[in-house]
Amino acid sequence: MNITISQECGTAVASITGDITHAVAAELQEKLLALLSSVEDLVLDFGGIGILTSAGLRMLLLLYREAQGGHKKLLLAAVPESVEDVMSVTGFWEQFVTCKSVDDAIKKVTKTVQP
Amino acid sequence: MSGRIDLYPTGEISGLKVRPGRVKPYGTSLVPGGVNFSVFSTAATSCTLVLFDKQTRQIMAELVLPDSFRIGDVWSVIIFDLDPERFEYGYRMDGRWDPAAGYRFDPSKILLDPYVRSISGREVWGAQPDRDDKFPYRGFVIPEDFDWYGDTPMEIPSENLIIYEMHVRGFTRHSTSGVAHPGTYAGVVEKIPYLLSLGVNCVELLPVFEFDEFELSVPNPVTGGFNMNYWGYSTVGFYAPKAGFAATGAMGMQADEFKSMVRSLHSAGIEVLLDVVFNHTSEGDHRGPTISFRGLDNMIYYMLTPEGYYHNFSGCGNSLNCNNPIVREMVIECLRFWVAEYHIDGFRFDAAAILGRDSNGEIMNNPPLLESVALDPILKKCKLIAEAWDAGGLYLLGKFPNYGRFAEWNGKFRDDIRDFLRGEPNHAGLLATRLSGSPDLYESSGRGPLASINFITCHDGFSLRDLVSYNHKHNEANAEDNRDGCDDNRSWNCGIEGETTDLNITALRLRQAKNALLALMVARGTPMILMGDEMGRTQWGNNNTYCHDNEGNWLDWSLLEREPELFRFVRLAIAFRLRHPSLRAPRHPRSDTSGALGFPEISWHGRTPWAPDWSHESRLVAAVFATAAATADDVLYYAWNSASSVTMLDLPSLPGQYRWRVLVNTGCVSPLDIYNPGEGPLLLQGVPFLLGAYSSVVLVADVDLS
Repeated sequence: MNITISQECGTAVASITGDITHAVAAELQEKLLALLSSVEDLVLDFGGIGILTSAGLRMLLLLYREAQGGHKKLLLAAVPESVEDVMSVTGFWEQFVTCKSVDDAIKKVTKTVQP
Repeated sequence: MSGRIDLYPTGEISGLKVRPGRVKPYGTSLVPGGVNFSVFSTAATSCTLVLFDKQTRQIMAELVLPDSFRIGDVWSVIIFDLDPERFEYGYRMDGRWDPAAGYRFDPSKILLDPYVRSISGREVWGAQPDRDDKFPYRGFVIPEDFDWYGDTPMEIPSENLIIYEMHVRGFTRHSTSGVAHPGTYAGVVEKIPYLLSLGVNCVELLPVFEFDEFELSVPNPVTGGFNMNYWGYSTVGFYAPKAGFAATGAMGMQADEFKSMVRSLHSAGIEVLLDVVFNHTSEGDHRGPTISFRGLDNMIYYMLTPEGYYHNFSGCGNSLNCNNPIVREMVIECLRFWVAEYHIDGFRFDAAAILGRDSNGEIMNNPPLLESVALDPILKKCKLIAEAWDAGGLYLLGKFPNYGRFAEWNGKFRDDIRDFLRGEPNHAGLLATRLSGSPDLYESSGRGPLASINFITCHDGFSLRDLVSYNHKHNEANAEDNRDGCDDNRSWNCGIEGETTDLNITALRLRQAKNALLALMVARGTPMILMGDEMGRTQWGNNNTYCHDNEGNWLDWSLLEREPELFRFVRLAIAFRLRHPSLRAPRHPRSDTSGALGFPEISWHGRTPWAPDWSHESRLVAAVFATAAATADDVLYYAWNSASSVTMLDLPSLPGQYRWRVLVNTGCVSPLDIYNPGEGPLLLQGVPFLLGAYSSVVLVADVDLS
């Protein structure tokens, strides 16, 4: 698992590659929570992820709750179909704001920010 | 690391950091920094916790738990730094091997935790098992943190319930289902719009506790395939949802998928009942495998003969010793767990008469298990339904120890409706009794019609289409020379055995199916429909399809296009029932009360009003159902003629501007067989009504505004 962080138009984008399993979920959670605390909006670029296990989903949920508590926006972008499928049938998908691409996500954040 | 000192290890066993665990809850629970394990055995001399590496499937560690980790008969341990996604577990229990005395301890076996929340080994339905694996079923830990989005208990009053009995896999496995995940919990969710269009508000799922579809599987020389344990009445783990029913079973996420299904059904207004099998386990008799209970506490979990063999009141090899206090606690905890953790709305107890037997199999007057279930605060609002008989010959219909809570699958309703349907003599009075909510069974004990789950067909026996298409069972595909399955089917093939292209016969069969379903919708009590009966599902005359994972059991959705008339009829008949409180009152109707439009709550009629014919040869029953409130105007006339000739009916008079309006007439073809409210023709006062052979009718009192 790798994570690359960039800023686009004032929004943090964390691009993650590899599998998000219990083996990496705790470490990833720590990094993303730290990132979330320092920005207003966070886009998770999932274009490069393979498997998202139960622990990975729980990590996402925790992040979502943190964002919600801090009135921040958390968006998932470019989620692979197989991951979307797992998230849908287990009832997690609808909790998240999702976008087809990172660009869409940034546009969405920008649009929401501007009155 | 937590600041709490009780969450630090106190030592090491087999290289793992541990401390003595918490004895409750039994099973596993996630605690900060680790996992708590707790297991009991009343007669084991030692307990070893076995941990497997989930990926390699090899044993990772074996922890012999010292006496300092035992309280009474309970061993418990917290293991720290254990990755819940990376391990599976089981137990070795040592002790006496003396089967005649009831002891069957064998430390060479690795046993499944009876309280295990998730089980691996059968993650993908039908995937070939590894027959060399000595421990094919392994427990694993799952988080119990589902977000229910504010889901509240449904608690639909039983009088308003329409139950749909269905098999999770069979519902959407057929290629015509059109769902993305055929045969799964997710597939059920995709079909919620269908359930809503039909109008049911409750699904009763055939067993969903983990079972092994390959149990006792053998090649089937008749079908050329394999017999499988398709129905699943053989529990491996009572707390674990069937992984092979989950699209995400291979990822170990069956619990999330199951909960998501329940949440979606609830949000659509549909309750979820589970068919639960507490009468036996999948370990069979003394020749069966040792999976869990037998190796943990044989004498506690099972009813044994004095020689140490297994009582077999279930017909499946063993009988769970439900009224032993320890087993009782396991069963009650299990029910509580499914209600609290999975938001289940109720249970149908398979072969529930066994639950009223003591350790020797004798019938108890006040079975503590049933009393405890009935009075439990967590279970207080959920539906409890008993199959009030068992394979040991105990038949408790009308007498099931109910404590004011348990309803019963009403086998007499099924039998009497079937007999009247096929034109048997001497059944007019019995039909009237069944339509009234079976007061013969439930009134003397103060139970109302809601004690009666009314059904004509269920998974066990013919489907409705087969009930009107076969005189005899045709179970050859079960490869038991047609010996298995019930012989008492009370069915009538309408002239030819099996499928036919004879239009007269197919028309009569369709009419008979409508007659049966209409009676179900008219009767007081809670109706239950079998999956697919609303679209003419056939099992090709097989009345015991427990072993077929094929198109004989899967719902063929193309029937909706081929049988639109039947589907439309059932849909409108359900809506009709739910519109009329006169059909659903939660008490037995009285004929000596004054109700709507001057009619008593129920009155019986014949070819002439107020003159019912209860004679031996009568095949006509006519009734007026009226709401008890004199101020209301919910009044219905119902008549069923199961004779082979037409009959003329003089109708009871209605007061003032009221006229009878046709709502249902199964003697007519669609769309004249059933109408939306206000669309059927108004009848002229005083003109007799012609009721066809094998036909039934519903008229509704309506004001003539013309």
